[in-house]
Formats: sequence, C-alpha cells, structure tokens
Amino acid sequence: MKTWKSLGERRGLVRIRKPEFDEELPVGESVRQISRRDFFRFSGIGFAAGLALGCKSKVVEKAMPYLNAQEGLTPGVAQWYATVCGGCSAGCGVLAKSRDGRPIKLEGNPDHPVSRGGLCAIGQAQTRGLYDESRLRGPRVDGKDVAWPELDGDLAQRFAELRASGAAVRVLSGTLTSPTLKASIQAFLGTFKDGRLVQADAFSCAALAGAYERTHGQKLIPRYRLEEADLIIGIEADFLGTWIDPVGFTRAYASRRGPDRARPMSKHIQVESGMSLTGSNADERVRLAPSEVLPFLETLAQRLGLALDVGALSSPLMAKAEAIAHALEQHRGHGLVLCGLNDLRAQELCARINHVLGHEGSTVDLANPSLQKQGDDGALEALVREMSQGKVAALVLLGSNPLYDQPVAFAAAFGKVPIRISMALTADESAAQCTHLAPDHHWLETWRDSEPLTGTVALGQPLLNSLFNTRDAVETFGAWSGRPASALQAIQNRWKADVFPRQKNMGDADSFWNATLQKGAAEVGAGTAPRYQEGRVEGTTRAARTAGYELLLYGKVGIGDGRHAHLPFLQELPDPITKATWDNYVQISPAAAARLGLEQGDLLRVRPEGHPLELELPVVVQPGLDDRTLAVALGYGRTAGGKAGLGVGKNAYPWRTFSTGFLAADPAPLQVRKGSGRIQLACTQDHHSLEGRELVREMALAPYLRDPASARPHEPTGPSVYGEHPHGQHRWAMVIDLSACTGCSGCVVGCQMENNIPVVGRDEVARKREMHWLRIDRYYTGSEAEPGVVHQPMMCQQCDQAPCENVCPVLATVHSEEGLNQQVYNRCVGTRYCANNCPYKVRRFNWWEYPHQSELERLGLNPDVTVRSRGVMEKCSFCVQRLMVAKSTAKSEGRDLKDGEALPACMQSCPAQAIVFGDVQDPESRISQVMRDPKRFLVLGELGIGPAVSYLTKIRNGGSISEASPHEASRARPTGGLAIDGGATEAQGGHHGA
Amino acid sequence: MNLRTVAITGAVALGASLMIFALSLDTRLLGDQSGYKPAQPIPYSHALHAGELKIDCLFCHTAAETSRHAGIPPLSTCMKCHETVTNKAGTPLGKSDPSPEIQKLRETYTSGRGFEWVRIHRLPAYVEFPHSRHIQAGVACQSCHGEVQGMERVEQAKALTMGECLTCHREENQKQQLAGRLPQAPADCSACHH
Repeated sequence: MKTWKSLGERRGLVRIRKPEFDEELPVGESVRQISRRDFFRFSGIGFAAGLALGCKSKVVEKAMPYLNAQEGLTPGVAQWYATVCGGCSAGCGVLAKSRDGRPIKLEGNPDHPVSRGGLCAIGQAQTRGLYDESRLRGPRVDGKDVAWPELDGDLAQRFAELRASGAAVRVLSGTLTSPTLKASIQAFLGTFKDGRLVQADAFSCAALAGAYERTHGQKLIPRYRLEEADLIIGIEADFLGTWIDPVGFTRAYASRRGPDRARPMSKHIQVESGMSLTGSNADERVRLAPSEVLPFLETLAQRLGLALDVGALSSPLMAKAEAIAHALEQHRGHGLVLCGLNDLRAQELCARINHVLGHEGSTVDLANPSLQKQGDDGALEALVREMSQGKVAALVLLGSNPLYDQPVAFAAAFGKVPIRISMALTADESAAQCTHLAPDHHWLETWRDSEPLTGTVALGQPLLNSLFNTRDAVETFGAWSGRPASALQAIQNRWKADVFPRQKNMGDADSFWNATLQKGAAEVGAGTAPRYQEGRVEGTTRAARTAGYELLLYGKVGIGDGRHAHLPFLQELPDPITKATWDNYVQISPAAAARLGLEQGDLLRVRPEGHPLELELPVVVQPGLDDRTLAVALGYGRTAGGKAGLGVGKNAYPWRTFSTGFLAADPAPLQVRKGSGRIQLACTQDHHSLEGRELVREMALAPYLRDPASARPHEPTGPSVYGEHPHGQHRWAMVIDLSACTGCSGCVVGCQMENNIPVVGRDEVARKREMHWLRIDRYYTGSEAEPGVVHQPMMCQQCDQAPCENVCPVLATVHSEEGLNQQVYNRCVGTRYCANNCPYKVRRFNWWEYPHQSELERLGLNPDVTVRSRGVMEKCSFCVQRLMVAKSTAKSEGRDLKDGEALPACMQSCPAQAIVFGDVQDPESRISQVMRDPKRFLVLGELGIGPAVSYLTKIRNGGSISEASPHEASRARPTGGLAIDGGATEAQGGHHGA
Repeated sequence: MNLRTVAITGAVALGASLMIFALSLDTRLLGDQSGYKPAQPIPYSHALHAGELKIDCLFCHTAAETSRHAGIPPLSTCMKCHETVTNKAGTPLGKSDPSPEIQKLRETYTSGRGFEWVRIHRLPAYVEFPHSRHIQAGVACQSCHGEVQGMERVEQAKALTMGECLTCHREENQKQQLAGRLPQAPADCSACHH
C-alpha cells in the first residue's frame, strides 16, 4: 500500500476491519419498556387508524396566481441573470438562477474575464446568506428598531453638528471594487471638513502594494498571469485557496496543468511553512519555518543578482534556494514568483526578482493591475491611533467587522468614538457595539458595478426586491450627504460619464450598458505599466530562528476570513487538506507531535511569547507541515453574527500585530503546553475508508512524454457477472482530470446547493453521517515529512453493473437506459443494503429529518429536486434534473442535444475545468475523445462493475521520480518521496524551452 | 388475560374494522382524487369559455407550452375581455344585463387581492410532470384532464396515477417503434422522480 489517507492508516492504527456498529444501537429507552409483541399491537392500531383516515381525507390546497402577469416571468421556468459575486472582493462573475422570483443557485459566468466560468465554495453558498435567519430586519438606533427616516433624521442632526465643528468622520470598509459605491462614500465624506475612507482587509495584501510603490512608484497589485508562466514559485502564497483571486488563479493555473494542454505543462514549486491547498498541488515543496522565509527569499534574490544583505540560512535550504534560482534563470521571462507574506521587504524582493528576470509584461501585468485588494494597513493603524486619542467623532463600518478581525487595540479605541454606525447584514461583533445600524442590502438585492481588474468592468444586478427593510449602501450614503439618488441611477450616471468613454467598441452608451448587463462584464481600455525604479531594498535582514515553535496564521478555503462563518454549509465543508469540519485547530507536523507526545485531538495551549491571549485548541497532526511551525486557521471563534458560527473554533485574529507596519502573525516564538484532555474532531478523513486499494494513480511528466501509452493501466478491468445493459439515446459518463483538480471544493458546495443536500452538524459528521453527495478524497503519497498529495473527487460512479442495485429489496435503486443509477426516494424504505454494498461508499442515508422549518431558509431550495425525508437513501444523480431540462429544451427546439449543453452542477462551476461530462454514444463528443486518453483509469476497475466515472492519472512535473530507473518510471504508479533537487529541476527545464 | 391485553386487542380489532369500513366506501388508491369537484370563488365555466366560445386552452394557460406548470392565469388575463364584457352570457347585442359574478371578478381585480382558487389536480407526491413537453409532443389537454370544455364546474377526471402515465408512454413508444422511429417517451424512474 503506497497511498494513504491519514497517519493512523499509514501506521496501521486504523483497524481495517471495524466492528459493524461503532456505537451501541440507538434503541430508545421507551422502546425497551414495552415488549416486542405489544409494540406490534400498538403499531397495528396506528396503521389501521391511519389507513382508515387516509382513505377519507381530502387535502384542500389553495392556488393563487399573480394578479398581473409579470413580464418575462413564467412560473416554473428559470431565469438567469449575470451579476457579480459579493462573497469576497475578488469580483467573480456569476450567473444567478432565479425560479419564480427567488434566486436559488449561482454558477460561474464563462463570459466574465476574472473567473471565466469558475466559482468557489464561498461563492456557491451565497444564496443561503441571502435567506439567512440571522440577517438584520431593518435599521436600529441604540438597539431599538426604527424606521429609515427616523435613523436618517437622527444622524442628519448629528452630522450637521460634526460638519459645523469640523470633527473627523471616517468610513472603514473592506476592499471596495465598486467605483460607484466608492464615489458615493467620497461624496458623503466630502461634506465634512475632515472625512476619510479607510479600506482594510482581514487578509491584507498591503505590503504587496507598498512594495510596488517602492519599485515602480505606484501602489498597485499586479495582475498575475499564471497561464503564461512555465515555472511558478509560490512563497507562502495560497493562491489557489485564499490569496487575492483564487478562482481566477485556479483557472489560469489549471490551463497549464497536465501534459496534453495546448501549451506545455508548467512546473510549480511551493515554498511554505504550512500545508496549503496550493502547496498540495505543487510539483515540489520546500518546507521551512515562517522566520526562514525572508532569508530564503534574500538568498534567492542574491543568487539572481540583486545586491543585498542576506540573513543566515541552513545549508539544505540554501541549496534549495540555489536550485530554484537556477530554475528561474532557465525560465527567464516565463517564470513567476508569488509571495503571500504581508511583509514589505519580502514583497519588494519578490517584485525586484520578477523584474530582473523579465517577468513584467509576460507573467506580471502591471498595465492592468488588480483592484481586488485595496486595504491599507498603514491607514488602518493611523485610524486606530486617531480613535484612541479620541479624535474620531463618527465611524461608519461597511463590509467590515474590525472588532472581530483586527488586533485588540481596535476594540479598545472603538469605544472612544461617539457615533458608531454599522452597515453589516447581520448583528456581528462590531455591529453589536454600534450606536446605529443601517443594514445594507445583500448583494443579490442590489445594483452594483465593479472593476476588479483595471480595465475590466462589470455590472451586478438585483435578482429580487430586498427581503427585509434594508437599504443599499449607495442610497444610504446619498441620503446622508443630502443628495439622495437610487443606486441604479448613480451607477448609470457614472457609467455614462466615466466608463463608456473608455471603451471603443460601441457607439452609444445605452447599447454599451445593455450589452454589459447581459454579458455581465466588459473590457475597456488598458493603462500603461509604470516604470521600474532601481533602489536599495527596504528594511534589514532578520535572522531566521533555529529553535522553538513559530506561528502560522492561515485562511481555510471554506471559511476564508470568517465573514461567512455563520453559513453552516461552509462550516461543514471539509478542509481540503485536513478533512476536518466545524472547527479550527493547531496543525503540527508528525515529528513535532511525536516530540511533544501529542495525538490528533489532544488539546494544546498556545501563546506567542508575551501575548496576553492563550488559546486551547485541539491538535491536528498534519503531514508535510514544517517541524517548527504551528498553524492555526483564522475566521473561527465568532461570538455574534449568526447561529452556525457561534462557538465554533477559537478566534486567532488577536494574534496578529502591526509590529512590522503591516498586519501579520505575531513573530514571537510560541509558548506551548499541553492542555487538559482531548476532543474528537469532526473529521471526514478516515470515513468510508477504502481499505488500502490503489485508488489514485500518479505519474511523472518525463516518462509520460516519452511514452504516453505507458500511462495506461496494466491491470485488466474485471469481468462482469451480468450482461450489458441496453442503452437508449444517451449514455452519460464523466471523466475527472486529476492533474487539473486542485481540491478547491467549490463543486462540493455547488452540489449541495443544486441538490438540496442538508447540513447535518458537528456531532453527526463525527458519527460519519455527513450528507455530501460529492466528496473530495485526499491521498498522500511518500513520506510523512514530505508527502505528495492527490485530490480525487468521489461521487456515485453510476456503475453499469451496480452492486447497489442488486441488493435493494424494493427496487428503489434501478438502472436507467441512459446509464444512470437511479435512486427513487419514494420507493426507498431505508434498509441501507445498497450503502453497505457500494464499494465507493458514496451513498448517504437520512438518519434524521434534517431541519427545513425556517420558511426563509426554505426559499433557497431547488424546486426541481425532492427534499428527502428521514429514512431515505440518497446519492449523486449526475444532476438528472439538469439533464432533463437540457433534453427537454433540445426537444422543444426540435434538434438533437448539443455536446456540453447538459452539465452537472459540479462541472459547471469547476474553476479548474477538471470535469468532462457528456454522452459517450456520440463519438464526436468531448467525453468520447477524453475516454480514449491513455491516462484514463477506473477506480476499483478490477471489480468489473463498469463505473461511468473515470479519472485521468495525475501527472506531476518533476521531483526525484523523473530520475527513477527507466523500468520503474515507465509505469504509472503511486509515487515515492518527492525531494527537490537542482538536477531534477534542470532536467525538467529542457522540456519547457520557450 | 389481563385488562390491558383486552384493551389492546379491542383496539386492534377496532382499527381493522375501521380500515375495512373505509375501504368498502372507497376502493381507490391512496391519493386518488378523481371526481374531486370543489366549488371555486366564482363559478367560472369552462363549458362556456372553452366549449361554447371555443377559446383555446393555451390562450389562458399560457405557461403550459413553455413551463412545467400549465399555470392558473393571472386575473389580468380575465380582464383582457372582461374589461369590456360585463353582461351575462347570451345577452343580446345592445342590451345590458350585468353579471354579478363578472362584477365580483372586476372588483377583486381592482382591489388588488386576487382569488384563492381551490386546487383540483394534484399529482401524487414526489413526481415532476412537465406540461410543456407533453403539449409540444401533441398530447391533448383532454387526455389527462378529461373533457374540460364540457365542464360547468371542473372536476378531476382521471386518477393521475403512475400507471396511467406509463400506459400512455408505452403505447406512444410502441407506435414510434412500429413507425421505425426512436421511442420518445421516457420510462426511466428518474425522468419524473428526482
């Protein structure tokens, strides 16, 4: 067994044969008090009475049509609108699906230049934020519900006083990608003598912008073009997970991952202390402690010809830095160095390296900089200073929750501001301390424009009227500055005046507006790149520590910075690496865990030296983590703002400081002591364990290119016990490219939204009862210290000779003529035989009636999919409802179904485009072509059950595997350890001659 | 035999007899509502509109062609005609004999409330029935809804059970196959249950 799912499995601690029932059978006390016979007698009465009543009852149902027909709206027919996702500041384009006036599903907009059809997990969950019970129902003053005129009247009076006295008014927001919103804030602040807008991000990139001010004289964040890069060096930058624009980056990155793309496969080396999603996809990883990153970068820069002082570094790391420098030289002009540290010196080094290697203009686009992170840590620090000196008279919070995600100093200073206004959608930590609440619309309820990249403009449109008595922020600021205007009017005016003149394709402003509204986005004129300025690198070298534990604060893919922590769908999304749900924890390397005598779940008390806050967190032993690094996720430990987030994990934001001038984790060494006891983490890692069979395949690029046929699995697929099924007009199949899949988990949440899959909660996940139809299995290969990672999406494999079908006593799961394994909910009696007999463990049982009582939350359900009740089995259906709609549309239009017209939800929004789905009866379809790929393999093909889902072997570009003996290297197999070394890098370099 | 057992046995017997009694009254399947003919807020007559006046079904039930729901027309559809037509049916041209029911309709419309119609046709639970596919395939409305154009007050004409669906689908497929074409009416579970 060469692949492994968890440390326990690797070390043989997980029993291969588990007892049938992990816990005692859940037979209630009430049942034990009555004999079996009595039970049947009583149930006989119930049955008889029920039947008698059932025969006579007539349910009277009322039907109320619209009074007036709504233009363009046909009850039962979905409408789609292009808009802009407001889940974070990346500004991805979405197509929002609305049924009978309510948005129910978000999908990536393929015409949007940022996301190009992808959507992440947080984006997928946004409709549930709209229908969230914890949303504020209307404005409040001093905790009392008021009407808007009352709030405006009260504030108008106070603002008038401030205007007269010249006191300071501040607006604190996250990154604002909407120019109109920004203009309306500026107009409001302009009515005061001292008004200023401060933008601050929880995941700040201020140092990156600051570095470009030093190297190019302009604060900017470049647009990184990963699709142009032959060699990507990621340094503590989780660009596929949480950094700046994960969806756009994933799309660009995946377009070069795999041997059969239009352009040669890129090589990705990740230098990091934690084990990030990005690192898990890298061809090679370099592990180092957080304090070693800067000396590493310095060494790298020096080897590339920059003159600077270099901090001391251990010799193995020095050798690796040299090897990377060498590889970068080889790829001069076609490489890319990305650094995720919020540290000015590190970012400046990175910017200068990218300059000297000639990356500007190819992979680093400075002419169209990104506007997705505009937070300014210096301005935030100045604001805290001003507030603590009592100089700020009024502070407006917009899309910002500083009492939760900023250092403690903010909270102390906040109390000294007399007028505190929050525009938050929920009563979050900061809103709870505010005098005035002026809740903004949810982004699905507003008009908004956006410019996420310079030269890329987009329009967001409302899908419905506001559900509650909220008001658009643009209108609120308009009202407060005495120039009330509707948001739509404000945007249209600005577009006519500013945006339309920038573009050259359209003759009149109205056509431009309409075209952009329909498409979702437009590209207008590009700027010019600023010129490089030579200079001495800012700051001094900081020596790496050689002992003691160091703190790494990171963001998780599902929870991000924590602003959506109240959405249970995101809490229950397993972390792509640790597979833990509903918690944050201290990640620790296996070696460090052994040293400290810790096991998974043990409580550990951690505190940066000299910091007042000590947190007691459970331990997760994470292979691949640096041995001196302890990693803690941000975004947990919410104390307000929605039920689902309360009491989940601990808040590590207070461990960040401004000590370097930028918000970063406290650099002090960590004090670590054992806590008392241990807790069981709700981890999906060992669930549904697949008994050590070879389930994923991995291969190095070089041997594949020498002989692609060698990727073909040598094991024959097993014989079938039964004959072939007859097939009708279509036969659906899916192929997932493991080289492209990054494990981002967008599909998991997308599937939940599409198919009304419930959230079961922490305790139930711990009992292995999570309901996700689509899970992503994460396998490690190689050593514990330096493992390789393979992500494998796993859902119902729609077997042709399905083992589940044979054992169902009530024919609730049967085969369709299109090759689907149908699950018929109303036939299912819940024997669970099918789940027991499923070799892939993808069937899910409704152990409970999962809550759907909230009328508000029910609005988000998909009316095309049955909401399953207790006692019913369910599983992936290949989104059969979407196939039906596509087939029906084609038939109605009197034509054949086109390839790519019918797509499941997981495939539609995959940012990496790793999933191909289609009809294999059509020899011209994309799926039929992919099915001929030599890399294709079946999971458990030896069982001869003919799964309709197959996978393409993961191809890894580089590492020591390429140097293995020709005999061994010629076969796809699970790989050994991946050690970086200069020789291998060079050997790979030859393939990429640009 | 103690009292408790007597009570329980008695209760079972009672339950069983109740069930038999109920079944003797009505031998239809559970959920079968055929013959259901409730009174509506106004006595709208399909016999008059669809039968006598020969207004096409799709004139009012516009969504049937494009949506899974046939849709109950919004009152604005009624007002297309009843903005001007206020007399009782059969009133000679030039005479005035206002109908109180039409008056009720007009008042309800202007009040902005609308009617609460009583739903008649209800499929068994957990099934999807797309009207549009059937209309476009040329299935007559009457095949499931009965001779609505003759009904003064609409009633559910058929049981609308899965058996009825499948009989029709199989017959249709047989016809197609005899004509040498591919069967078009799906018989897969997931075509309707998902």
